[in-house]
Amino acid sequence: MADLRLVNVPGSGPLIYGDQGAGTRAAADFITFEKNDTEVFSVNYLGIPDPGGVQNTRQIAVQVGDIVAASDAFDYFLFESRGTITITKIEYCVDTDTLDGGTNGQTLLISNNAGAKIASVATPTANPGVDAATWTTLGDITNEELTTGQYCYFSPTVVSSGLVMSGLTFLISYTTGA
Amino acid sequence: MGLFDSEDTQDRDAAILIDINNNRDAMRYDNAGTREFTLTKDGFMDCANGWKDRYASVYIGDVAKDSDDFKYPLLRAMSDITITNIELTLDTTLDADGSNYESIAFHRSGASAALFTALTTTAGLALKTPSAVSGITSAAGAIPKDETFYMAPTMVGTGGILSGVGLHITYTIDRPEAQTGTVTDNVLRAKNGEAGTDGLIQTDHLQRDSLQLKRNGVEVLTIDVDGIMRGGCDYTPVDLYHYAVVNVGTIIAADSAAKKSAIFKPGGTATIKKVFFGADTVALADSETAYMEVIITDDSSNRIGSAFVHGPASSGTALVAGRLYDMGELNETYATIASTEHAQVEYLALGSPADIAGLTVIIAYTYI
Repeated sequence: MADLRLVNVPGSGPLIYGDQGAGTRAAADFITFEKNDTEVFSVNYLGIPDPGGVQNTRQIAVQVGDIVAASDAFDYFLFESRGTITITKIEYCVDTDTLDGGTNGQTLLISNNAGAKIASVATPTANPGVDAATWTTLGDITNEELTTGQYCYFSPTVVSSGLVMSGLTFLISYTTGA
Repeated sequence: MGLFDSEDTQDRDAAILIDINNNRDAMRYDNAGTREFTLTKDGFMDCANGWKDRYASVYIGDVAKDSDDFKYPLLRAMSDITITNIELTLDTTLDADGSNYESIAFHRSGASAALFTALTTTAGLALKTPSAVSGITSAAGAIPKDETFYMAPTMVGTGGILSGVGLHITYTIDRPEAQTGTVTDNVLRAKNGEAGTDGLIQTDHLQRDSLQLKRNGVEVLTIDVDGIMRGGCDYTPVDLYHYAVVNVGTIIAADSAAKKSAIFKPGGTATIKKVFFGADTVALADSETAYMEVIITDDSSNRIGSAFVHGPASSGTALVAGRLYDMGELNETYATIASTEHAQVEYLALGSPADIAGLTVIIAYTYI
């Protein structure tokens, strides 16, 4: 039997209600669920859930489309945050094998609205340069936090003569904050 | 110590069991009198913070000067949603032109009138710099379940070419049903100044679930011993659905058995629950000899779902521009995607079918 069992309770308000207010509890969680003394789920004092597993991570898939070989003139907005988020991973993919990337390629740079680098990677020096339908990480993330109204964008830069990329898609993983 | 603390108690039931047969919420949390979090009777987490925001960035490619015939499908969900913000971007700067420009309106499929103030390009647009759509309100932005949210440009004068258009949408998933009644009618209540820094509601166990929420005796949400949220057998809280929205571009006959458009790669094991698809131009289901099969597969090309476009008349889907259609029943054997796999779209042509212009695919999934 449950330790707290509330079944078919008549009434109209929330069964459980908490208001932190100020004082010693001001920054305490509303909900803390632990497993063997390790927190696995919480709702913090800002009301933000933090579930276990990967459920606190969300993704945005952005297909920016076809990238021409001479790509330097184009910049592609990716998304704008409406709250505080933390970018945790960025991957990219194309829908068709590129040509030989041994000499020609693209540098894929994602920056925030201030122009600071979030992640960057060069296409592989291989043949084909990028395989179709294969996700590749952009590597380490810096300047990972975006607050309300901040955005990130993608700037390709030609390596040698560049590399056409068909159906270029980014997958951005992030966690939410306030 | 908080209001409730359960540690290392023994039983197979969840530590906290709540079963609601009326309209009240399970939990509510305020911070200094301002509501921040509610767990509703439907297992929906109604948050005042950024947790509620969802994003969809849809690149629709270039918009031609003579744009009136195109309608670009953007979003469809498993439940009611509300559009809260839209930004439009280009990949190339557009110069100002007060005579020849585009007027960009947004609609939902269930109403003819535009939802918000149309965005015009008269003042020009700088590349990668977002331009916000104005006039978005919670009432105007409401998109009911089964309706499509879409964009419809209109040429003014001779129009203006828009290069690499991106539409960046913020939306929220609507609470299924409002709670009514007084907030102060509670079973457990703590307000202002109680001592301690532990969680107000706290459990700690090795095996038993932390919380199970039922409605009229039917499980709607469980938070298990590992902190994983899951729906019941017959109901999934609508905020546990995630959406991957991708415009895969215009699909031509030569893409048959060649192009593979990856849609998403989950962070953990996920199950695809629904697939919506549509195009920016009409596609009739009127050919018996030339049509295209649009196939959702995993990365081993195992079929999850498919639909026929341009025919055949007996089983093809006739596409209205700007509408997203339910792909129908999915193959459950392959609908679960591990974090090492991904979902993609493949194409198979019979004969020489016409193009599918601006094919947009939405995958609705939940994490396991």
